[in-house]
Amino acid sequence: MTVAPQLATLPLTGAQQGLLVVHRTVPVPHLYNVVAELELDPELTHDHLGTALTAVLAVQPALRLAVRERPTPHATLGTVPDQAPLHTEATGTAHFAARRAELLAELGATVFDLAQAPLLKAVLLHTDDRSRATLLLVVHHLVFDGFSLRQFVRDLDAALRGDLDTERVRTARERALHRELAAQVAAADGDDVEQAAAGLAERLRAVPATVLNPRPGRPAGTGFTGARHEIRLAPEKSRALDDLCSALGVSPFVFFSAAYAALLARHSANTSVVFGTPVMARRTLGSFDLCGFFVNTLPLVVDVRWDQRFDTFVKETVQAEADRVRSNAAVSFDRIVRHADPDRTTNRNPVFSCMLAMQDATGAEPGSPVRRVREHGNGTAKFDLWLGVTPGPDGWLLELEHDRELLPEPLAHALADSLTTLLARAVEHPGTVLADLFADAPLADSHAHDGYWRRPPHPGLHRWVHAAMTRRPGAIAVEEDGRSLTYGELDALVRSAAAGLARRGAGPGTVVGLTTPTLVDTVVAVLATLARRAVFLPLDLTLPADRLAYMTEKAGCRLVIGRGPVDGTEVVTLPELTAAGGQDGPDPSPHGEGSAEDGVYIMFTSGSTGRPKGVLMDNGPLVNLTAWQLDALEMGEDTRFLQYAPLGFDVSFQEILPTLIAGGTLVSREPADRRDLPAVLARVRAHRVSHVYLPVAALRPFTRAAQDSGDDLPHLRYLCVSGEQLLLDDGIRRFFADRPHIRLVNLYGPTETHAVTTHRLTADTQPWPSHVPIGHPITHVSAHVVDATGHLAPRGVPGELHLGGACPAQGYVNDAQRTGERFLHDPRAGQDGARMYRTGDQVLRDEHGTLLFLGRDDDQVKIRGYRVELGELETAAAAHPGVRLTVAAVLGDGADRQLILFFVPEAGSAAQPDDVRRHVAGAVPGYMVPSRIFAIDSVPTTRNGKVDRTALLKEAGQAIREEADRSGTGAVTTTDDPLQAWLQELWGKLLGRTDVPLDRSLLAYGAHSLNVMTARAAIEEEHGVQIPVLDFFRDPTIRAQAAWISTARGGQ
Amino acid sequence: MNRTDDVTDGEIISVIRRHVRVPFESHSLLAEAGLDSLSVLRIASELIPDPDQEIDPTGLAAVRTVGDLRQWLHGLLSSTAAEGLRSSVESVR
Repeated sequence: MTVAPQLATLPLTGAQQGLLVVHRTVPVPHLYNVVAELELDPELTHDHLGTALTAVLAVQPALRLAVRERPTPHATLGTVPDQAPLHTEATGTAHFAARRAELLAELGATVFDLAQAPLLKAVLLHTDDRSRATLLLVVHHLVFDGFSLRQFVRDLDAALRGDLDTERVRTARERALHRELAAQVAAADGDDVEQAAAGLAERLRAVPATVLNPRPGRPAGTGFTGARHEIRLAPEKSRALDDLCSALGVSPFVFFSAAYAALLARHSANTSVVFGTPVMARRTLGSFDLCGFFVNTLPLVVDVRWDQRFDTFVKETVQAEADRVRSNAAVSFDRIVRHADPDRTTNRNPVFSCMLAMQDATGAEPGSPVRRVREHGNGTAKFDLWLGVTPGPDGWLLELEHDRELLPEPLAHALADSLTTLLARAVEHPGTVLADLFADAPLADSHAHDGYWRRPPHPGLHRWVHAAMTRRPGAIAVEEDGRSLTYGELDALVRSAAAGLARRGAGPGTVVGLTTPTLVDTVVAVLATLARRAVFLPLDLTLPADRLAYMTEKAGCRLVIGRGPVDGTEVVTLPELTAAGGQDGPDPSPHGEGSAEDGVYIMFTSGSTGRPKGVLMDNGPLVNLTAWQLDALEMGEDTRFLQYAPLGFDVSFQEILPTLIAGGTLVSREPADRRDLPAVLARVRAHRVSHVYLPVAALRPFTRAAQDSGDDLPHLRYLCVSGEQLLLDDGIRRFFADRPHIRLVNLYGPTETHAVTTHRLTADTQPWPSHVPIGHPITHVSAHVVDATGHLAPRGVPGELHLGGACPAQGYVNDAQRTGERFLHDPRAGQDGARMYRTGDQVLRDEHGTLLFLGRDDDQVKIRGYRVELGELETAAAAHPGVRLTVAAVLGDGADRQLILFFVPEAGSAAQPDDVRRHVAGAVPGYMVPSRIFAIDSVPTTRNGKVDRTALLKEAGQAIREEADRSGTGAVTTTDDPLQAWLQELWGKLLGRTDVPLDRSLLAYGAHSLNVMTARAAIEEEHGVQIPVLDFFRDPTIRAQAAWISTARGGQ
Repeated sequence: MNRTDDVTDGEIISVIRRHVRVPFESHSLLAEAGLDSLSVLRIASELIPDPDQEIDPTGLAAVRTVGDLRQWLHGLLSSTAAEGLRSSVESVR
């Protein structure tokens, strides 16, 4: 019998069409190769096996399918080949293993021409002495799902034994394939499938994307290289797992789905996770004998509540979701994508990046010439993380395949560790709550500090600085405009002031307010306070009077040095304080050395909500910080540190005390205004400053001023920044590249701990990242990252930063309640009384153990589930040559949230929002491309100098509403351009409408990946150019496609 | 229930018994009886030799207990019978 004519051309199922789209989108042509290995009876000859393999191709019509894309995607069924594509090779016993590995790699990398059947290749490798033989096989996924291997092996076994009635079976199977495809096509057109797809899409839109290793700067695309980790459950553990499934009344799939959901929830820091699973979509009983691609990959959406018991979680939450997925087996992936409208501008899977696949046990029959069967990876990763679960005679085999770019090896190890622990705990104690299925990551990361430290000769700051003051009395301690103060003079003034304080009753623990007008006065007052073991409280007279009153009252401050008035306090000027002398008197420091617990200062944090909190910082942490800084910033008598920070900002401590302790010189910023960075730069240059410490926001203007003036700043060695996330742009990079003698040090630390982690960039560090890490803790500080399960987070897992060791302040002054909430016992320090501070900051350790700052717990910007850093978007947009300033903001709530970008054009620039959008779209992932961009004349600011996003958003919202009122009239639908008109007609036909505008997203008019494929084919036929799928999705308008075609044709 | 149904039910139970090696009740969960989706399909294939017989995955997803399975197989068998009746009517025409 010949192939029936109606069988020659076959439809593709929705699943096949979807796979074809993905295959065309990814840059790796061998990504969808299925690689299998069949250990064979070594006596088998090439001819015997070849004949059997040919018989299998005869009885498995799917293995004779080729796929063609024009005019519309379809399959063609080929005739049975005379010879199966089998190559046979012999090798010495000693080289068998190596040659096998080589052949597996070669076969795995096979690039099939989809239009040429069969989409299969096989190699028989045997040893010269016929002691071993193995059949290595590669088949394209388009014609072969996981279940197919079982049928393949069964037929091969029958053919090798001579039990296969090839002709009869071939006819029946071709008919069965035909019936199955007809059933699938009919089912796919049902309204119920459409409704199910819409329902699934709705669930998907409601949950954030499950992103593992959610670090800033995570690559948007990937090269799809993968590696596998194997976890074998011991036989007794496997039996216990099976028994537990029976007892709970769930299938192993439900059990492993639960485990995987918990694993993903921990490692993505989400409480809802999404992962895909292949669901068998075979519809006719006859199809179960067929090879073919009859699976739909469907998403599971699982809510993970950390306090829920595992057994309840499995039986209720996960079982319900598994039932839902199975009942949706007929829904193809592509249909879900059409409804969910996810971000499709990367080459990643648009709906889920993690997958769980239950693999079939493909056991060989006793006495069969096929002795053992297994599947292999091919060094690729289709997903960020894939978990394959296979039952075997000795127990469960778990394989974790990970994308090596997106999940570097240490992170994959951490995932495997978590999975192993959680499976063991779940099986042993199924009543365990989900959070407790996990364990602490190694404590060593918490203590991995940067190692800089210079041993302090004194336990207290006062003795230490006093020793420096007397060491070189003639050296300059403080340099102000037109005035210099030697250490000797400073020492005398400090003694007088301390004596003055003593006369006013200020002793250990007394809070002394400072409103001193000059740097010299400030330094004297600070050191005098230290000498009295009193506590200084910086007071900024520009603050509202009631705020000052609150601060002094809360801190218990009755005495102020400097200017006044300050309500409720006695204010004395420094000259008044020192007037009675004391220069020649004894050292006025009371009660000996002082202790680590002595308070040094109180600084009020501004606090975005509620009343400000006064942080009482004591000697211990500050001595440690100084010991670190002297070494880390190479400070000595030649150090010339600019005093830039306001005294009420804790950075001022790092400028003043370590410099004096090192015997260096403190250089006043004044008369330069703090905001006038060119003037600050001039002062740095003129005074040969070696160390500058700026707020992050001042770095760009400072470096730009230097670039503009062409100043090399030969004396500057350290440029430190802190205060917010440091994002580097090319301008800043150029400044440092031109001045390799300057090191950039990024410091992080809340007022409650002072600076505690640092990351340095030097000329040798390449490349300089855009999002600069906060690095490693300083010596004697421990940095615990605590994840949502309450355990130390493995690398790559976000968590809250808890800071212990030599850094937590005493607490909030006179506020036991708030102190108790934030300053806690450190359970991991291994000693009583050890304390730590809960920062409320989300951080993540990268694969190298370096800390990255993610944001405040309460201040996360998430768009469609992706963490978005507004600063990163602003930096990307500001790199457009026609853009001077940018502000990004979020409009709307919940699922309606959208990113808005405002920009101020450079003078004389004609940059349009569309130009900026194209520029941004080329620089950031799709979900970060703002939905609207507005040009503005200037950036409005609030009273305290911050960008007024609320005002901008109000105007943007108004503009959007007005536009919506005019909707339908704004889009351009007519054109004189023949190429645009041709595209308009093409899309009109594909979308079944005549009003397709030139400049609106075609996705909004019904375009989806399948008709995009058809449009691409038509464009290629007509114009000879192929628009990459990703480029289409980056800007899905007719105007953009016309531009693309014109450019591509021009380049030909 | 007529006589044909009795015979059918007997067949169904005996095929299920061949695939389940532990004691089970009508309310036993498939997982407790050691039945996975593949063994369910094998049972269906044994009962219905017609390779064109379609399975609705939505209906199959609702099968949780051995009793559900019996019910589901009954449904399949009666749709096969109806199909057979229709073909014979068509051939008479």
